Amino acid sequence: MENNIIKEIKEIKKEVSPRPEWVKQSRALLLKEIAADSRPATLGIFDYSRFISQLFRQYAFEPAVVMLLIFATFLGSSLTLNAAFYSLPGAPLYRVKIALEKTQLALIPGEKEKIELKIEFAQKRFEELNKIARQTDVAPEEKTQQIKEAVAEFKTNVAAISTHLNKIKETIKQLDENKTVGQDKDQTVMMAISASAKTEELIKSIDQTIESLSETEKAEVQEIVSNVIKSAQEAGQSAQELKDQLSAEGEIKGAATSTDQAVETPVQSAGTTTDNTTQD
Amino acid sequence: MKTSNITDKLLLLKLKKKDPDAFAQLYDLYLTPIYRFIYFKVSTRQDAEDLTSEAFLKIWQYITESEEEIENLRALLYRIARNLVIDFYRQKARAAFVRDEEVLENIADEKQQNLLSQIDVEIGLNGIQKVLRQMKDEYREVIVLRFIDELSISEMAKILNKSKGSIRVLLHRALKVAKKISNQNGK
Repeated sequence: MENNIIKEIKEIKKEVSPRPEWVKQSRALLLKEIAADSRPATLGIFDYSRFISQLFRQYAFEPAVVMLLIFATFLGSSLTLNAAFYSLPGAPLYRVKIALEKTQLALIPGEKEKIELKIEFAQKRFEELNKIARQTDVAPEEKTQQIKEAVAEFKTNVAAISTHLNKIKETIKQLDENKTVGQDKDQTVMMAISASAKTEELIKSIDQTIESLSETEKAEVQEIVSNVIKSAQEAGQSAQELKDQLSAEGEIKGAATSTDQAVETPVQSAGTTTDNTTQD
Repeated sequence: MKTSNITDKLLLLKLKKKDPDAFAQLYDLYLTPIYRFIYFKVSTRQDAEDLTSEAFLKIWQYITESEEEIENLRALLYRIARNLVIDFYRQKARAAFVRDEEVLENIADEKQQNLLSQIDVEIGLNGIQKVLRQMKDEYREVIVLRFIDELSISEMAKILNKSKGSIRVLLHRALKVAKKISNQNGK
């Protein structure tokens, strides 16, 4: 019954409306009346900013709007992060990706985790280089620039690994001076050797990728690549020195075998990763 | 956020700048609903037309002269129309030589009620329009605003200067009364 009443009331809309001749007449009369006090106006930037601020003030605190803003911020940040994650050197978001990696590195606590992360980043740079090398729809100059940037980033990562290994060497020296023998030292050495092996494997793979580049591209990155190899050799040397020192001391008798295993396994896994990436 | 709200806000900015085109736009947009709102409060079409024109002139003066920030243009327009109707009945009451200011407040509504209850006889109304004319102004007003002009509860609260809760209660009672009158008329 109530619904019927409402329906009937809504029907009145059709029945009650002003007379068309009066509508016209009144419109003209009113416009004539305000004519003396009016002037044509257009809205400027100031008006629009006032309009936006008014809208914001009115709706900003409505729960639905707040929820929408939170959702948009969340979605926007995840999309940006996702886009940054897949970006290649030369892309605007690539710097964001590198900055995020640096933050991740700064936040991670242990030395072992830090060096693992540094190796992971170097592997990423290698994968990026492979992707760029496979690109066919990019202008040659742009591609060369991207390759240059990717190799330069790779160099930074390898140099960071080398510095880290030197730091480990210093720590081992200190442990020796303090006559500290034990699991800590063994583990640190194992970690250094494993890192060096992985780096070496990466250098081999990147060398193959560089070989596949055109002569112009090769010429552009030659100097950086030789610097990378130098850094990697330094890292390998540091790791080898540590291994020799410990073998001579016979301190890691039992651990020696496990150290060798530790070296083997990561090298193999790095090799597999590289193979997979190349197949992509 | 409704598109009509955004249109109103932009219109308001132009009106503040005394733009005649904006006024014409306002007139085209709100003439019929405002006319209808007034029509159900007065006894003749002539009065409804005069008051509607006056309402538009008043809103022009208010917007261009007042420094106050206007939150809702539509609500303001209805409020102006409503006040004009109240003034209209007060003037009629004065014309009937009522001088006592205290009585004047109540007289407006009573006079309006008496006039409207006789109107169906004068112009031969029937059906739901007759039911509306027989209702108390307070109830008829909420019914017109809600179901004919399709205003939101919050806009109605602003126009009638009441809480949203009171508006809901009023609407519920108004529909009940409408049903009752409709049943009585049917007998």
